[in-house]
Formats: sequence, C-alpha cells, structure tokens
Amino acid sequence: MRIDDQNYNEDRSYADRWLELLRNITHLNPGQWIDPEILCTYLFQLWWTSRYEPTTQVVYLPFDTTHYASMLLHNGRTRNKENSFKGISLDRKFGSVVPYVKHRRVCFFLERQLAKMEAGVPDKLGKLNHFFPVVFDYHARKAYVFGATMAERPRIRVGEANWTAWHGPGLWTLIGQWLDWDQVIGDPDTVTVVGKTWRQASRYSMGLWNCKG
Amino acid sequence: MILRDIISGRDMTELLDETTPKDLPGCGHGERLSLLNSTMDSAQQAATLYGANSGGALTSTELGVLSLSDIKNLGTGYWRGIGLYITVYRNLQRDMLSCAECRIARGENAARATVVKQATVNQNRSGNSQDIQDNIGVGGTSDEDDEVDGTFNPHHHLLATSSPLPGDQCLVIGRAVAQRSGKEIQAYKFQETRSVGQCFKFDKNFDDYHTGPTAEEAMERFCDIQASYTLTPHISILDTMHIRFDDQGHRRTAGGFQHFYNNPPSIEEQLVHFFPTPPEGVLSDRKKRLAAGIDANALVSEAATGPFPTSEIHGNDLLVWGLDDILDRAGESVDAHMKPYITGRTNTVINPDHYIRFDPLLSRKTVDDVRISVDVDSVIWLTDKLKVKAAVNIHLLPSTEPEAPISKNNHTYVELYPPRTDAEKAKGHMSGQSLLTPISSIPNMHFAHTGNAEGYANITIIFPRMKHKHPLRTKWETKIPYEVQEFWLRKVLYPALHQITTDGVGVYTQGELEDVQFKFKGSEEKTLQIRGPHLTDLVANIHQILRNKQGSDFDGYRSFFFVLDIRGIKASTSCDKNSSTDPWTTLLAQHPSLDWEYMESGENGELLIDIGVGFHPPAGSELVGFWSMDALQVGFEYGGYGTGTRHSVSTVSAIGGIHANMPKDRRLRTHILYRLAYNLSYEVLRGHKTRTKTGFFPARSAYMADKDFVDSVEAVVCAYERSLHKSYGVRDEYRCRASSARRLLPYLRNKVSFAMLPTKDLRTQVQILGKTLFASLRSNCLALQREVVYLYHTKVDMSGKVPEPT
Repeated sequence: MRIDDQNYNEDRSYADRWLELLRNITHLNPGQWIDPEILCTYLFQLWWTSRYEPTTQVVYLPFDTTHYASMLLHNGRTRNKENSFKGISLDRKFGSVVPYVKHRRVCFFLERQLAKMEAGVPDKLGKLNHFFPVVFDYHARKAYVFGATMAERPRIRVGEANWTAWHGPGLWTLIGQWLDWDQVIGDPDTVTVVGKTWRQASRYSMGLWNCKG
Repeated sequence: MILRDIISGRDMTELLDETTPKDLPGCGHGERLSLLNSTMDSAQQAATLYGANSGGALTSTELGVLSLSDIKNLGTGYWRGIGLYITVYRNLQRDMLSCAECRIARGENAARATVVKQATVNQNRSGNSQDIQDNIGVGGTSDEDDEVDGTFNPHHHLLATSSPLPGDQCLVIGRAVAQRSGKEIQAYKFQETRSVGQCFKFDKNFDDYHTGPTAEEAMERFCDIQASYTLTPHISILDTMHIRFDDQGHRRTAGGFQHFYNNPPSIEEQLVHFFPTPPEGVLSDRKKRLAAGIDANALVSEAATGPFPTSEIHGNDLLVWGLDDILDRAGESVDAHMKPYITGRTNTVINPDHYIRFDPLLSRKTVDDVRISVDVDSVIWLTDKLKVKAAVNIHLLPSTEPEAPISKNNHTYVELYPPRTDAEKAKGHMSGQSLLTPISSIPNMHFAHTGNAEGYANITIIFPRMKHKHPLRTKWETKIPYEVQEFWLRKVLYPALHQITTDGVGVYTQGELEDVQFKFKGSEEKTLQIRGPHLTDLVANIHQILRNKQGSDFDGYRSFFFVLDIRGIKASTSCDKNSSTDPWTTLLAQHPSLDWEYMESGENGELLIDIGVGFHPPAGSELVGFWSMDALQVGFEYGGYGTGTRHSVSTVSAIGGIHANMPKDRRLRTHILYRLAYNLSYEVLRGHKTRTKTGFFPARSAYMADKDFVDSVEAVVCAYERSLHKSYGVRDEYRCRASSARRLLPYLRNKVSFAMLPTKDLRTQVQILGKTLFASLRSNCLALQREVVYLYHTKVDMSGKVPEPT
C-alpha cells in the first residue's frame, strides 16, 4: 500500500473501515447469510482499485449512496430537492473518477425491502433481503435490471414497466445530476428498461449477494 | 460472477446472454473463500498502514513487533479478527472437503488411475470373460517377442505369475492406440499394437492405509500452527517442528514405484522412440509450412500495421544476416559497431537502419565424420528392500546442508494415497484417488553411501508420511530440520545399530548419538562402514523398532523407502565405436558393490537409467554443433513426447535444446520416462553459477552497473575466448527402465549412425557451426555490458528520455 501525505487520512479512513468489518467476519461461515457490509466494501474496493483501467466502463455507486437516494425519493422528496443529496454520502475523490469513464454507465445495487419494491410476481424471494444490480446506460438511454424477480427459465424482457416500483425514474435523474451528466439525462419516461430474469433458488441468486452455501 | 463482470466493464450483450446464469456455482464455497481471503488481505493491509506510521511497512508475520502505541491504535479488533478468520477458514475448508461440487471444481477426479484399474477388472470379472481370454492371448505375444529376441528377461518370473491371469494376480488396462490431441502436431505413423499392460495387484491393506489422520484432522492442526505463527511468530518456530514433520496421512501403494507396465515392450517398439526421425514427407511438409511463415519479406505485410501503432517495421524491411555477416560488420571496439547487437539494425553504409533477421544456420558447415558415443549418465533406484553386495557407509550425524539431498525435481515419481476425509473414514472407504508424486516434494535426508570415488552411490531415505506444505509459505518442505534428524538418529537408527552384535563389529555399533557428537561434532560428516548383510539386518531392525514403538511420535517415520542414485558418470561409462564393451558392462564393472540383478527385478523397486548419446565433431576441428530447433521439434512430436520446454541459445531461437516428458499412456508401454536434448557448448558456462538462482550476478548489480556486474561479464567473455578453439557436439538423453532399455544398447549406435548418413533426416536435426558462434556471443556480451554501463552513467529515466547534460 503506497502512502503519501495527501491521501494518508483518506487511506486511513478506509483502513479503519476494514478493521471494523473484521468483527462481522463470522458471517462468512458456511451456511450463513453473507454479511452485506463486507460484500459492499469488497465490491467497492474491487472497482476502486481498477477505476482507471481502460476496461473499466462503469461508475459503481456504493450501496449506502443508492440506499440514501432511495430513501430520499421514498420519503416524498421531489426531483427538485435533490440538492440536499449532492455530496453528502460520498467523498469528493469519487467524483474525480467520472470524467475517465469511457461510457456513461452507472452500476449500483438495490435491496428489495429498502427500495420498497413490490414484487410483480409472487415468489419466495419476496420475504428475503434480496439484492439486485441495476445498470443505467445514459448514452444508449437504457436501464438494465438483473434478477429483480424470479422466472422459471432465463428470459429477457424489454420494456419492463416495473421500474417505477423502486423509483427508477427518480434515481435516473438524481444520479445523472449528481454525476454532472445533465446533457444526457433527458426525460426518464423515454428510457427503455431491459430486465433479465432467471430461476433463482433460495441458496444462491445473483451470484454473491444471497449466497448461503 | 455477474457483479464482477459489470464492474470490470464487460460488454452488456454478453451479460444478457441467456446462458450466463447457468455458470453460477451451485455451492458458492469458492466465492465465499475468495471473499474471506480478500477481506483478510485488506484488513492486513490496513494494519500495515498503521505500521507504516511508525516507520516501515510490516507483513502479517511481523505484526508481533509493533510498539504499544500502535497496538492501541489497532485496537483489539484486529487480533480478535485474526482468530475469527482462522475459525471461519477452518469451517469453510471442512465443508469444501466434503462438498461434491468443490471436489469436481478442484479437479481431484483427474488422477483416478487406480480406481480405473480396479473398475476395469471388476467389469472383466463380472461380465465379460471373453475379454479376459483375449487379453491372455495378447499378453502371450510379449513372451513370443522375448523368445525371438533371445535376450535375458529379468521380468520372466513376473510374467510367469501374471500370464495365466487368474483374476487377482494382475490387472489389465490400456488402450490400443496412444494419441495426442488438443493442438496441431505432426501425426506419427507407428502405434503400439499391444493393448495389454500388467501391473501389481492393488492391496488395500498395504502400508496400513486405514490408520493415520484424516485430511480434516491434519488441516485443523495446521490451522493451529498458522494461528500461532500469526500471533507469536518468534516463539512458535521451534514448537511446530515436530507437528509439521509428523504423520500427515499420506500412504504408499503396492507397486507404487513402478513408472511403467511390468511386461517389457518389444525391442522394435521401444527403439522407434529413440531418435525418432519422421519420414521425409512429414519433414518436407513441415518445412513448406515453415518456409511460408518464415519468408523474410512476408513476415510483415505492407497492409499490416503491426501490433503497436508505433511499430517501425514495414514490409521488405528485413535483411538476413548470418554469423559471418555480424562478425564482419559489427564489433565491440567502436560504438557504431555495437549497433546491430543493441538495436537489431544494420550499421552498414549501403542499407543503413534496416532491421536484421538473424539466421545462424546460414553459417553451417558440412562434416562427414561425426563421432557418436553412447553412455549411461545416471542411475536411480527406488526401493523399500535395500540390499547391496559390498560395504556401505552409514551416516551417523545429522546433515547441516541448507537443502535436502533431493530438492529439485529429478523426474522420478512415487504413487501416494493422500489422506482420507472424515466422511470416507466413517464409511470405511478408500480415498478415491492416488497421486503420482515427485520425489523432490517429499521430506528426505541422507542415509548412507557406497564407495568413495570409484563405485560411489548415494542412498537417501524418504519419509512419505511427512509430506506437507509449510503453512505460511505454501511450499513443499523437503529439508528435515536438524532436531527431527537428531530424533530419528537417537531413537531409531542407533538402537537398530545396537542390535548388530557380531564379534568385532559390536564394538563400533554400540555408541550413542551423544558419543559421536562429542567426538565428531564440527566435522562435515561421520560414517560407519558396515558390510552388505549387516545393512539388510539394519533395515529389518529399523522396521522392527518402528513396529514395536507405541505412541504417535514415530508415525511419521513409518513407510519410509530409499533412493539410490549415481550421478555424473557419463565420462566414465562412455563408449565410442572403438570400445570393445557396451556402457552397461562398463557400469557394472565400475560399481561392483551393487547387486544389479537384484535391483533390476521389478519386485524390488524401480531401476531407472539415463541413456545418453553424444554427437561430436572430430577433435581439433574447432567446430560447434547445435540442435536445429525446428527439426528437433518435429522429432519430439513424431516420437510422441509431450510439449516440453524449449531452451534457446542466448536469444537465438533457431538453435537450442528441448526436454519433455513422455505422456502417460505412451510412457507405460514404452518404458521411457523423459527425453532431454541439449547442446554440449553449454559446458562452457555450466557449473555452480548456472545452478543457483542468482546466476552470475544479482539483478541489482546490473542496475547499479557496479564492479560485480562488470567483473562477471568479463569472466563470461574470457570463458568464451578460451573456448574459441575447442570443439563441442550435441547430446541426447533418455531416462528409461534399466531392464528393458539396456537391451537396446547394441542397436543404438547402428540406428544413430544410419540416421546420420547424409541422406537421412536426423542429419537435419544436428547442425554443425563454425567457431564463429562463440566469437559472436562474446561480442554480444561486451556490447550489452557497455550499453548497461552507458545507461547507468547517463541516468536515463524509465520513459527513455535522456536529460540534458549539466
């Protein structure tokens, strides 16, 4: 770990976070639900270490940020009051990454209960704390949703109207404004929503999130 | 995983592929383990950050030396976290051992050779008796071959027991056709028609397989070691030694020394794998293909932009230079003359700044009188029934060498069973696999030696039950610690020696380890010479002592075996065409203390020899021979050898050497283990420096351009200068079973001589160059040395910019 004086305090805050997370490490025991905090920090670290590599094409928002945004939208904040959100949760270093990203894509995760999502299809996943990833592609004006609901076999649905259940249009505008992409935000009603669903057991779904091996 | 793919920026169309979720693992253990390890890594890096506050960076094992204030900063969370990590790691490993999907993922079912054998026999026994009859018929053909050859067959007694094939005496395995697949190679026309191989019967009670710790128990013990290493590293070094070098659960198998089938191949079948020379059609096809690819003008087309946008190579830009061209037009005296060596471009007036394609084969010479010598280079005998004819010297003091006697892979193997899992133990099953393990990964120490200069043979004792990896270094530990060696000598070897009470001998065998240490400690070694029958008694006594000892302290020493090796005898056994004897007879005459007939017998172990054949230019001709890599590669492929490793001379890829193992199905039949072809010009530099990792100088010396670097390069240059007027040839070595391969020694010279005739193909593999090659290598070294020193003094930074002089 290379340390210089400018970044020392910031690095130290990350170090503190990792050391705090060690107390949750028993959640990685086999047969238990994986601790979301460890997983979120791990994914953020994964993106953060490779953020300037040429293959990195997305901006990854940590879960606490998107959760905060969902809370704002759910509590009745309108789209005009997003100023209170700007710059609260993330440090300023994060915004410096945005100009280097090749495509205008954002990836983040939502949790079904916290996003107050009403599942379109009744399934057993509805009772679990189920995470699912979302990718906003501002250039192509598409939103990709992976595994939000369960299906018997893998299928891809274009034009899924369900994204209002988790405040999709609001998040589209809010995140776009926060990343200073005002020229490509446009009207969220014209965005094409592509959803991919497949069969998910209670043991695993969406790879790491729900993993109970 | 999908999450990782999104973050690392994979194309969205790939993620929307419908087959993606099928790739998700069923159990998720692997992902959980990687998540656990990365979490611990990050936490350790965080702890390092705190350590960096007080000076330098710390590794995890050095955390014990943190100051009090730093430990307060760290808090107790980190230490408790390490403990929790170890617990979770242990739980996860236990689950993974019994998880079927994890086992498949680890690929453990790849080496189920013994199970396959067993299953084949069961099928044959239960259903298809006609197959057995057929196999008996085919097995009989090998006997007929032996009668035709009219040579002594040391496996005759084995064949006699296995030919009737009563079902429980021997096993029948193997396919009719040995194939290689997966990559483009030249097809070889010959194939073994013999489909029957015989090996020893599997014995489930051999070597106390049902005793010993399971994998889970061993792992738990190692987790404790890991914890103690991490928490109190400086205390735990001595404590864990006897735990690490204890019974880890590995067991030997019956017939585990056998690298090959017991029945020997016919002479023709085996001989065709020596110096395989494909028919002309194969080689000419290859040449055409190579010529299409290597055409200098067609290397880079005009349209191609090259791999990098800034590539300066364009079509028709290459000039072909041979060795003579380089020596004529380049040198080390003037900077301009060094240009071809440094930049790879011409420095001539007519065609300046063209890239050079170096073709050393342009300078080849034609030599009609190539001398051929055949020798036996080394002998390796794996056995658990050690027996010699004459006297041996038993080592009485622990070894203080920094490395184990067999620390590098010498291409000899033994078949071991890994420890069972808890589930298998509960069901009373065997472990479902057996692994062919290199000897060099098993703890070993010296035991004895025979002879002094003449007839010298080294005997090493191997402890397969102790096989383990170091908990932190993830490396096989083969060097047995001094204290463990002392324990073995004091508790086992000396009591076994005490039981030899013959008059006149008992006086010298009654000493204790303390006596010998009192008298001889400080000297390099102390040996006791005993005669051959006493050695047999000694080994029997050791077995008896280990059998009678109660308690787990002696578990690690049981199921030991011996490796007898004789190395570096190529000069003493070499025979040229004027010799009246063959190398085998010479070897027997020079090592009379060994019972060769006993060693050859398959029941007593495995005897491997290295048969070497040298091709030498006439003495005084000042010529240097080299293998032509392309032709040699064709030969390796045609002979059915594996991919192997290519070693080129300097940076010239057209000449060099190859060593390759024989693939399993072909090895079992042909009794050939591996082949090594190299150039004897390597003897100019071969020695202690080429064996060590540091080499001639450490890398930092080249960076600093200090005296070490300059002196080392000067020494290499002087070595080349001294060799300018010497002659070197090439050499080819085959490691094979002694009893079958020694039948070939009378035929080898004829085959090689015939293949070296001017019209034959082997000649294209051996190329003879003039003495200019050493001169060129010497100039190359000098030029590179000057360039390095120049770079250092001009202080070129990493971007290649040369700063302005101040």
